[in-house]
Amino acid sequence: MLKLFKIEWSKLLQSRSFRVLLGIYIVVYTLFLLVLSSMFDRFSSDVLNEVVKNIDYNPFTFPDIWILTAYFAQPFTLLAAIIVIVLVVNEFDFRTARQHIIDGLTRWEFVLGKFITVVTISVIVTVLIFLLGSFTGLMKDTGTSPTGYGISLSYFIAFFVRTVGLLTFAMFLAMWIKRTGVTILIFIVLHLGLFAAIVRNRLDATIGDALPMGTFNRLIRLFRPDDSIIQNYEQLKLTDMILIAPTGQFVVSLIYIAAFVGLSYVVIRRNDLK
Amino acid sequence: MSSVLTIRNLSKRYGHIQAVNDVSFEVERESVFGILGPNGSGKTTTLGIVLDVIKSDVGSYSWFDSERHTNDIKRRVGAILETPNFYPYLSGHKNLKIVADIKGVPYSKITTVLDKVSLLGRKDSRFKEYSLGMKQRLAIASALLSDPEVLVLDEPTNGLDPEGIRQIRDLIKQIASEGKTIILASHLLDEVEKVCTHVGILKSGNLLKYGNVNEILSEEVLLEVATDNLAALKAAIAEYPSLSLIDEVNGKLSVKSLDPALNATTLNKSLLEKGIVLNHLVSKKSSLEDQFLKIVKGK
Repeated sequence: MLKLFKIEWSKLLQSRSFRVLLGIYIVVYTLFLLVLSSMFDRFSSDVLNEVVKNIDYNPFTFPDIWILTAYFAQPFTLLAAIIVIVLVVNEFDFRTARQHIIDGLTRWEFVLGKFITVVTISVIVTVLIFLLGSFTGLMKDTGTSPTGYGISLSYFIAFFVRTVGLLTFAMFLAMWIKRTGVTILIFIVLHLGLFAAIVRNRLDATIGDALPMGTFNRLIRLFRPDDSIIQNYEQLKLTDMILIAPTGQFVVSLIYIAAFVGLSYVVIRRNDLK
Repeated sequence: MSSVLTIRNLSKRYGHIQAVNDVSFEVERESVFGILGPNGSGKTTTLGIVLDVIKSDVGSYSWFDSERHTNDIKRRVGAILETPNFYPYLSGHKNLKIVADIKGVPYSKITTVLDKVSLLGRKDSRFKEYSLGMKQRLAIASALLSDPEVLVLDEPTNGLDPEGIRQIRDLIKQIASEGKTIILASHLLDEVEKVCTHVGILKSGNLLKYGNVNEILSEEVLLEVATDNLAALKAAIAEYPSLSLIDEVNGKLSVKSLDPALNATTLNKSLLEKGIVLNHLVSKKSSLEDQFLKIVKGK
């Protein structure tokens, strides 16, 4: 395991696509959070005072900022997925996957190595949004008590599992299709939950939600009208509308992740490494 | 002598194309085995199968008479298939670190192999900045990393300039002299003739011939003759039972003599007696190239 991590880490660190996309991620998401918070400031001063009772409430302060960060970072997983897809397809384009097998890496170790990359990138991204959230929070927070820093860890766990899930799926697609452009396109279509949405609307909502993308994407989600959790609209906070899935869904997510790792192995095992 | 690699009845089909067809051969220890064949003859597919990256439809192979192709065996075989395969954005040294990690070899070996292929001075340059010759040498360095008993090289001089070709050839000879077994795929006969002790000739996936280079490179005499009246010359040649017409190029006939007594001098004299005056007569030994072309064309 350590050997695989060492190998993957040296590839990851020097990869230009990794550096560039990570840079884009940091810059774009920081800007996004800043724009969002300043929009909220304006919005709250103009309109919110009239509507919402608890005027003091600002979701861009601790600890709610972490919930917001974790929620709004979700679409940016696409950037992380592109990193994974590029890194995996590189192994076939450079024919290094084949050379590694010749040199004595087993096919299972190859897949495991890439899954380690997926987990590593997920850790990096999760830590990153935590830091960016903290950064934004510190800028907005006008000296509230440190108790407010009580971090909503569950949101980060949900974000992490979701990221690992989506990236493992991206890894599987890349190993299967072996082409960057097509893989990214298919990933976007499926990641947006288009397929799940069709199943949801045409067939059955429960089936749609139970599909891999539906499961991953709903680990952190906005409330739906049929969610009975929200009872008191009077004291509703923005972050109350962001819900975390029940434990069962996390278990299902982990099963899906294991399944995608297994499928990746099947694909690598079955095909010739040309 | 013990066998390093045994191949039994390997076959592989890609759709309509039979890439490898019932190929069997054996590579002996400390030999330099050349797999010779034109492009698309199944050389790389054959090597890909024995290197565990392509699955054969039929047949089997074994390294060192071992039933299973374990990682331990992979460490005893250093191989490159087709082009050198490395991460372009990493330096030569960093690329070899990855290979060392995979093979479980200490990093200290990297300097040794880089020195051997004269790349030590450029070890920190990125792979993509290397010339083709340097890339090939890095690939050989990588294959040598675990100090393997067998080296498998696939078209190692492909696309190189004459100097690069010589560097690689000298390197191969040097490695062979250290007692390593080398399996070398090439479409260049000259290359095989110069470095190999054994050769197998592949065409369209079929192994046409294999054995000692000296046995395949027979001692028979080849004569190239021409005259003003080519038809009469052809008819005359047909009368000799030990002569056979091989080829006709630019009004010149290539003739093979199976009788050592019938050489350029005696044939010239004999033809003159028949009233045929030659305006061109060259005697040459059959080279591997002629053998190769003959074998490949013949079937």
